[in-house]
Amino acid sequence: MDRVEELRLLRQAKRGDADSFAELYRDNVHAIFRYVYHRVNDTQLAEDLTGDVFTRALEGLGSYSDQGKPFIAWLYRIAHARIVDHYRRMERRPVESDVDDEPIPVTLDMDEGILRRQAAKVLREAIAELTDEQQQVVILRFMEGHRIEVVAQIMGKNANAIKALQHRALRSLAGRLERAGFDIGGIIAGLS
Amino acid sequence: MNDKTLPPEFYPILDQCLDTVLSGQTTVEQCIARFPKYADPLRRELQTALLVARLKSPPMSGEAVDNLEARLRGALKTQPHNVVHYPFFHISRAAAAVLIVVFLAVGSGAGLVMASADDLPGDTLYPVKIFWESVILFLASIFGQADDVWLRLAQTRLDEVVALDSQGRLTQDALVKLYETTAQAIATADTDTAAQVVEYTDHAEQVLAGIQSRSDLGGVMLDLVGLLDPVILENGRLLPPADTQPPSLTSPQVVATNTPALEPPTATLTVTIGYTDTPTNVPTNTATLTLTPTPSYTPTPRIPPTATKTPTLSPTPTVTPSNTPSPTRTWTPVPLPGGISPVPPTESPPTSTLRPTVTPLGSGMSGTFVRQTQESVYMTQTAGPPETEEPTP
Repeated sequence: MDRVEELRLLRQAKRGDADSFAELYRDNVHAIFRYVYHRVNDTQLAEDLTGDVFTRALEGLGSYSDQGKPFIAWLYRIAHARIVDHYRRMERRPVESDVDDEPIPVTLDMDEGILRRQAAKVLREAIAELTDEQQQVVILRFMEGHRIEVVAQIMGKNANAIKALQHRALRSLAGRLERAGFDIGGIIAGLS
Repeated sequence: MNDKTLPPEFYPILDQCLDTVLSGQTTVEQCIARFPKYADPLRRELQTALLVARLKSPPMSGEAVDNLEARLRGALKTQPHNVVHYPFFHISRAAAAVLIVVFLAVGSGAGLVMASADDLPGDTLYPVKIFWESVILFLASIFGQADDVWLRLAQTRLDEVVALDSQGRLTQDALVKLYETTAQAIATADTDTAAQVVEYTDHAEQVLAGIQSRSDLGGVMLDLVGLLDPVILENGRLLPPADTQPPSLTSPQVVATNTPALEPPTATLTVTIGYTDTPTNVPTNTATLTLTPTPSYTPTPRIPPTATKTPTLSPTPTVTPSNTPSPTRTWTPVPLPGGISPVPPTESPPTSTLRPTVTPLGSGMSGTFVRQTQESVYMTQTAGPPETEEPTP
C-alpha cells in the first residue's frame, strides 16, 4: 500500500469508515503478529496481544497524527508497549517457546535437520534474552527486513544508534550459539 | 581482531555488508574480501544475521484474523466518530497559558470576547472576535504554533460560511476570508499539521459542495475548490498556494500608454500595470521598456486596455530593457488589528519541478520501505513512550 493511499484510508477511518480501517488492519496485521510472536514465542499469546494492539490503535485513531512516518511505525510502538506491559505483569521474561522439550546437546553425528531445529531453538531463546531494544532491532531489521532508516524511525533513534545496537545483538547471539556448540558457518552451508 | 575492541567505524561497515548479504547481492566471503581487517567479526555476525533472517514464525490463523476484524468493526460502530473538528479555542497548552494571563489582564473585557465567539460577519461583536483572533495568532507565532492557529481560523471561517449560508447572508467577503485563512493554513503547515490540513480541506470540500451556487459567488467559489486539493510534497509538507488571495479577484488590469517616437529611432514605451486587489489594497508598479528598433522599424505597440498581464508588441523588436521586464509586485496584506501581517504569497507560481506526491512505499509485508529517512523530522517528535504508556499518536 503506498503512502498516499494509506493517508487516504487513515482520513476515512478517522471519520468512522469501518472498511477503511479494515483495509489498514489487513495490510498490517501479519507484520504485527510476526513481531509480537518473535518477542513472546507463543502463538496464542501473540494473537491476543495482536488483537490488543489493533484495539488500542482503533481507540487512539482520533488523535493519531501522521508526523511523516508510516502507520505501521505507530503500530510497532503500540506493540512494543503492550509486550513490555505483558512482561511487567508476568514479572519475568519467558524463555519457553511452543516447543517444551529441553535442547539436545549438539553431537557430531547429529542429523542436519535436527541440528538446524536445535539451532533455531537456541537462537529464539537467545533473542528472548537480548535487551528490549536489541530484540526490536533484530526482529525489525533481520526478520522483517526493514532498512536501517525505517527501524530508526520506528524506534525513535538515529541510524547510528541502530547500527551499534545491531552489532551488539548479533555479537551476543553469535556467542550464545557458539557456546551451545553450534558451527554457524556449517549450518549456513547446510542451508544453502 | 578482538570483538570487544571493535571501533565505531565497524558499525557502518557491518551495516553495509548486512544490506548486501541479506538481499543476496553479495556473499559473506565477498564482503570479507572488501574489509579483511574485520574478517572474523564480520563473518560471525553476518552468518548469524543470515540464520536469524531464516527464523520462521507461524502465521496468524485466518480464523483469528477474521475474528479480530469482526471485533474491530463492532468496536468502530459503537465508538464515537472521530470527526475532524478544531474548536477555535483548542490550542497548545503553552499558548493557552499565555492566553489565560491575557484574559486576566483584559479583565472585564474577557466577557466581551467570549460573547463574540459565535458572532458572524455583520454582527455587532464580530470585530471583537477578529481582534481576539489576531491576538491569539500573534501569541501563537511567538511559540511557533502559527500553523496550528491558521488551521483553526480556517475551520472557524468555514463554520461562519455555513452559518451565513443557512441564514441567507453568505457574502463574497466571507468566502474571501475563508480562502485567505485556508491558504495560510496550507502555506504554514509543517509535517505535523500537514495531515490535519488535508483532512480539513477534504471536510471543507464536502461542506462547500452543499452550499447553493450563486452567480455573484461563482469566481471565488471556484478559487476555493481549486485551493482545497493541496499537493503533498516528498518532505511531508504541503505545496504552498501561489497566492493567499483568490485569483479571480487579483487578475491584473492593464492600462497602457505609449508615446512612440518615429524619429529618432529610439522609442520609449511606458507600460503601467496596476493590480486591483481587495478594495483596501491598490498596489501599483511601473515597468519601463526601452526599444531600440532598426531604422526601418516603426514601433506601434498595441496594448489591450483590459486584463492581460504581458503587453503584446507587434512587430516584436529587439528589446533592450532598461528595467526588469516583469513588474515587481508589491503585496500589501490586509492589516490585522495589532499589526499582524499574514505571510506574503510567493512571487511566482510553483514550477513543475516540484513533485506532487510523496515517494510511495513498497509493501510493508515484504519488509522493504523505500521512503527516505525522516530522521531530522523524527528527531523533533516526541521521544518514544515510557515503557508502560501507550505511544503518543
